[in-house]
Amino acid sequence: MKKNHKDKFKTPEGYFDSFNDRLLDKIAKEESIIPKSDGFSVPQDYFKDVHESVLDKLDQEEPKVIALKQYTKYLYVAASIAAVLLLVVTLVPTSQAVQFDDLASTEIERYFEDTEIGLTSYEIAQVVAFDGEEIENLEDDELEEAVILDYLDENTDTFDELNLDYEFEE
Amino acid sequence: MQHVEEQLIKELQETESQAKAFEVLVNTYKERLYWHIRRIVLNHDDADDVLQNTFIKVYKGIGNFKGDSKLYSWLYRIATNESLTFLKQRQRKSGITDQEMQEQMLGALEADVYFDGDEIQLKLQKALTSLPEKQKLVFNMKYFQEMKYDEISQILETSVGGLKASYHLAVKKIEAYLKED
Repeated sequence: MKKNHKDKFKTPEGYFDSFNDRLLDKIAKEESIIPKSDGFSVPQDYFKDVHESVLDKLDQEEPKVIALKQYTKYLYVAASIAAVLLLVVTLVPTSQAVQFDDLASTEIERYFEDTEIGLTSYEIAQVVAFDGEEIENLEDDELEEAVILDYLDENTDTFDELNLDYEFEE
Repeated sequence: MQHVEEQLIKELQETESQAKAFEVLVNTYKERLYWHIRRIVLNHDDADDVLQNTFIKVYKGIGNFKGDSKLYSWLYRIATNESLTFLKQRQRKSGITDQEMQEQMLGALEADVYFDGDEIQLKLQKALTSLPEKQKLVFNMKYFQEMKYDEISQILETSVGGLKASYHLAVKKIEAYLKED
């Protein structure tokens, strides 16, 4: 606050520093074609009720906050139960180790389908041991021609896969 | 003035004096903030909605107000952010471009019972929609709210020099627009 020591009048701080700027702005505004007012209005007595309206809106928002806190409380309980169950499952020793026979054949098939094992059918044949009886059963089984054709129809997309690379005799 | 503001902040942050102090705050700033918001969102009902949201944000956030900036610049900053967020959300919900949104707002303004503007005032609003966001804000704050550059600088966190350039550029563009047939 700047004081005039002779007659005790005061001016706001920085009043004279910004005087030139304000004067130039005012002159520019007087000369401008830009309208002085922008034409907006408000309903009568609108500003009287603003405080009340804000408090009403605040009250409406409060229950939401409480509900969120209650929900969080249930989340903590659910998370605690889940953690205890996880500990029980991991810490209690199992009575039997899982054997190969315990696996369902569908699980084994899915493993081979999903996993790139990188072995050719010849290499697999080298590893897998067939006993003589199994091979004999295979040779003795007489497959009907219709069954073979159905199999080929379902499992081959093109004739090229059948390796028909020999020439037909006329 | 500084002392009064500090006292108000203190009372707002203390539980027993908060309700009364909040009433003082709302009554002190409601008109200034309303006009600031109204000039961004244009429509009265939207301005009322944003003004209430602004005070609710202030009420919930006053505990975290550290006093690094002045109270009024903090309030104006919240009001500005709330207004711009309000418009962005509406635009996203409607799935329209910024340009289409501005055209809708101008269309609604012509039918607004709380807009008494004549042809030149409507043209002024059209000119304002063609300005970049910051120039529009600076122009409204300087020309209609008659705020000082120092105050605008604290609210928009831009240098006074930059604001002066923005304002004069905005005035030139608006005058050129109004002179067009």
